[in-house]
Amino acid sequence: MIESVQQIENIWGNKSPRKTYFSRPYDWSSNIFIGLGKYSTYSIPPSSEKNTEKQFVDTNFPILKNLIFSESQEETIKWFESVYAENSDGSKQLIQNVFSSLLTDNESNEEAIVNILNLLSRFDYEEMTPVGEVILASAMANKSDWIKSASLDVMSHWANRKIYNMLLKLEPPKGFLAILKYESILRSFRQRYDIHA
Amino acid sequence: MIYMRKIDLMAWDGKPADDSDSISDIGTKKHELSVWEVEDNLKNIDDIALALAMTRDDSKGIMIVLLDPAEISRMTDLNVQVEEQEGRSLYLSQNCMHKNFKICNLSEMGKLASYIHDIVEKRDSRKFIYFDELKLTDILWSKFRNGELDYDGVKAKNSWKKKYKDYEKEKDKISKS
Repeated sequence: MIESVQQIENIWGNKSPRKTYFSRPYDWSSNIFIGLGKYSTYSIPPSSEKNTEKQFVDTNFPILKNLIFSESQEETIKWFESVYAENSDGSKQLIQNVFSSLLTDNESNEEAIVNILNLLSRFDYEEMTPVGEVILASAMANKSDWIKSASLDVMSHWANRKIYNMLLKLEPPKGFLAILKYESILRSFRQRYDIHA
Repeated sequence: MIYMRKIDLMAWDGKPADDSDSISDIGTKKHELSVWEVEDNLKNIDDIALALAMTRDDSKGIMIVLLDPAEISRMTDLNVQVEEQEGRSLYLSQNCMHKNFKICNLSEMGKLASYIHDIVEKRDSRKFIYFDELKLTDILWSKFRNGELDYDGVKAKNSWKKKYKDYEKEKDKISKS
């Protein structure tokens, strides 16, 4: 168990193997990342892979949770893309944890959930599976047509046979226009994969 | 003449006639409401929908409403004036089909909103078409295939550039199989 910067230094010398701006504490008041100098949360040897991932998720959880409520989602997308480039598995766990917390919060968090789904739609299916399907299934079970509509956008972006099979099992939206959207996406899937309903 | 306008479906679905989200969704700039002209028989609707979609940075699907000024006038006494203005789509050859509705005040905006609200209430599915991402991608790929659009034409916007790369990959897969 590595508990101190000194221990890390003993193992790695003065070089931290993976150091990125997003692993540093985030100063929300000024929107500026404050550097910790040469050490970061991820300066842990690969043998502690599980701890590293947990630390990665724990460290970045409050950042993503906060960003997902912000007005400019471009910043969130940019930040998450850089996090994903650093640790794709950890990032999938991170997005799932934030999504779960939005569902279990006391608030409806409708807009924040839509923002999470919009974030998912910036990635390809292969980059987000299997976490992506779990989030989508859960989102489609939500009462809100807005959330269902954003889920449909992700499905239409990922468009593959597995997603089509999944779409058939999920609860369609209720509103007239949202139903038109749902039916249009189903039709396009059928056309693309030559499926006769 | 028929015109196409992109709408945010969440601003209309299940909303009352005077809902502020609906009014915002047909917000004007300099009294101009952006619309795209479609042939009466809707023959060119795919081209126009793609042109509209390609004014945007992302390639997500779009919900469109078809607006007929004569019908709007009959139902609301709003006389819609249509003005020419070149569009700003990556699909350059369609930019001449972009127009503006001149909407001068809140009363006119309210009339248009109530017209759209009415056709949502009546569930008039002939007036609304959803162009999902898969459909837009298929239309786009057909334009790549017949040379109407190419990489240089779409590279300015990332998500459309990515669609070109996906198209190339698909073409490569087909040629190898």
